Amino acid sequence: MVAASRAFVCLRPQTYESAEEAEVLSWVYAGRDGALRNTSFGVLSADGERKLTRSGRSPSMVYETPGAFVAALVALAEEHVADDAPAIRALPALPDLRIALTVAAADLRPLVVLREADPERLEELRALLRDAAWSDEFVGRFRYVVLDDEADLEGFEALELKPGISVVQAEAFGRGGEVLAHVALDPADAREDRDPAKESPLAATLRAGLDAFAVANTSVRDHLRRGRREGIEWVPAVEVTDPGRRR
Amino acid sequence: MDPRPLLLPALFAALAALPAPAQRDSEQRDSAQREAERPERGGTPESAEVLEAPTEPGIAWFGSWDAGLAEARRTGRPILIMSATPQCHGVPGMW
Repeated sequence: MVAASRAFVCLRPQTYESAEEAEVLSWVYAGRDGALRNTSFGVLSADGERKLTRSGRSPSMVYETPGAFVAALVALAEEHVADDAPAIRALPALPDLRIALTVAAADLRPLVVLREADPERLEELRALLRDAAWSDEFVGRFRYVVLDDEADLEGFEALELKPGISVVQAEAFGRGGEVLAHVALDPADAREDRDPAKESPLAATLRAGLDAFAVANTSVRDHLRRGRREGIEWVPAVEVTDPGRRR
Repeated sequence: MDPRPLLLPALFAALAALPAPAQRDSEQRDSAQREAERPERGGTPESAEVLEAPTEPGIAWFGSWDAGLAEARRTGRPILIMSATPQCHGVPGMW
């Protein structure tokens, strides 16, 4: 599945967190009542204008088995991906810190936070992080978020995120987290460090974050019970329209 | 009964191919010891299994439509889209 996914731009928007995205997702898949469901699945053309498969609430609504799904992805790639298609290179980032912490908590993955206010330096750091993110060693092992403004940290000041690149372990409900590793990377130094004879400070930091990461794999039941007991509530940006998810 | 739709765990287990918890080698600290050293971590009931970081590559998900669409247009690659909400019945941190 992971190998088959590499031919595609894999996109996982957060349902009910953006009115614009909700419109797109409703086009990808909606219930018989026309309302956006909690989950949706589809394969779209590169311009985002056409559906290349049937859509559904999940792949299991469209394909009978995981094997059939993988086979379909392989066939779609053969049909729709040119032999000389550029590799996917952009940093697969989440839209903001609040969502990123919650997604990282839900995925049980470490979150890499790039914080930099200077635009030029930000792009240099982003390029370095992007290369690491798609490297064989790290691809798919982290979630990412980019913060370029002090306001991006609002509500999460306790994290004490310093400029540079941090690996964060999100708190179980995404209310905060713990910085596991940090590097105030100098892009110039890092470029020099691309010499394979030298260890990359960024790679070392990412490895340190992975090594320190350890989370509790609580059951859904226990997670919900504790969340309700502590009064932890997520307020979506747009109305929840899934009949099974309305409260 | 568990209120979470059954499809979601299966969905993300298959699609994200969440790797099994990292196997501890002899040089790594025991998870229980690690937990004991960091008792302040939120959301870590004492009885819960401790997972370490994934050791295998996974799916690299773009987290917003605009970013994913831009990369799809740049590369000419189709979009595998799955949406979900990172809160379960109003409680965040769980699909």
